[in-house]
Amino acid sequence: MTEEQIPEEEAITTEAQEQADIPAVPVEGAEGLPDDVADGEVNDDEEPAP
Amino acid sequence: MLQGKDVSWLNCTPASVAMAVEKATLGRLRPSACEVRDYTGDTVGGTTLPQCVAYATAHGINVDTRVGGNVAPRAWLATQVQAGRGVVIQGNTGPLRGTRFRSTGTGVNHAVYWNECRGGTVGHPAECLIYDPAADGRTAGWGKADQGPSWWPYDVVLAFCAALHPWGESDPRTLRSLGITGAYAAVFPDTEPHVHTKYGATRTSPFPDRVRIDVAYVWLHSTPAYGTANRAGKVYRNDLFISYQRVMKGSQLWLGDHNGNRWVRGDKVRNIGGSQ
Repeated sequence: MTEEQIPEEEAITTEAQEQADIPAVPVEGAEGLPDDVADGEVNDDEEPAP
Repeated sequence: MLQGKDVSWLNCTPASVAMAVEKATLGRLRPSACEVRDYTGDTVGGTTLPQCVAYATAHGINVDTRVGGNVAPRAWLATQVQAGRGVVIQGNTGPLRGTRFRSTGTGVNHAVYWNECRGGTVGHPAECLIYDPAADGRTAGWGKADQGPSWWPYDVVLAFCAALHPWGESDPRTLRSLGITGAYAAVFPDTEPHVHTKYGATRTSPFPDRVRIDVAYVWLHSTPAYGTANRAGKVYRNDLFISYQRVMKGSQLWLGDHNGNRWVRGDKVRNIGGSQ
């Protein structure tokens, strides 16, 4: 009898759920970045060719 | 329109947060982008993640907002989505312009909703299901906008996030140019605890119940029954099994997963009902 494999996506989900509560390590160099970054205005202008 | 001003092309963050709220509450809350936007009270221009997340917080949704010096590490962020948490990410649409995912003319700071992943490995998925509020399939002078939702390659997601101009589009600095590998994001909670019970099973207590395999190995089964025909892979000593449901079949306790498709014998695990 051959072994069935647990579906790959389920295995990823299970492992991710185990790791998801581990606190994130601060990203180097991010000090000084602003908290508030506003989204821009979606436009249909096309940038001129270089 | 908001207080007489047309903000429809400045609504990507409210729209993305609205989608995240709907997923996080399994549809119990279905705000429109306008409702989220209205909550911010901002009628001037684009909105920020903290502004829009305030709507979710006000409705009892616990959101992990990762901005500024607290930006989210990439692999950590991907793991959150792989674990079932919806995420709103900020970036810039510049890198999308050379792809079929293009949704704007020029590159602009933008926000999209990231709902799930597929393929790859933990922390590095192959593809990401993205709901881009601007991907409405419209025809513009520059071409045709993508029609979302779309599966973006993970590299495209990373490029989108890295292209963000933290000090606004008129400032040339981007996260990439600054060498910063994090992403501005708002991580929403996993969908409210629920289970698809089968075979007469009931919820575990605690819910879910995190148990560990207590034998060298044991077969999982696709139903709570013995037999080689419904075997569904092996698990090994100390492996974690997250059980959401339980059922007695004769004198045998079976523990089942979220969807009721994987079952393990209760006498082969430890920590049933124990600390989490």
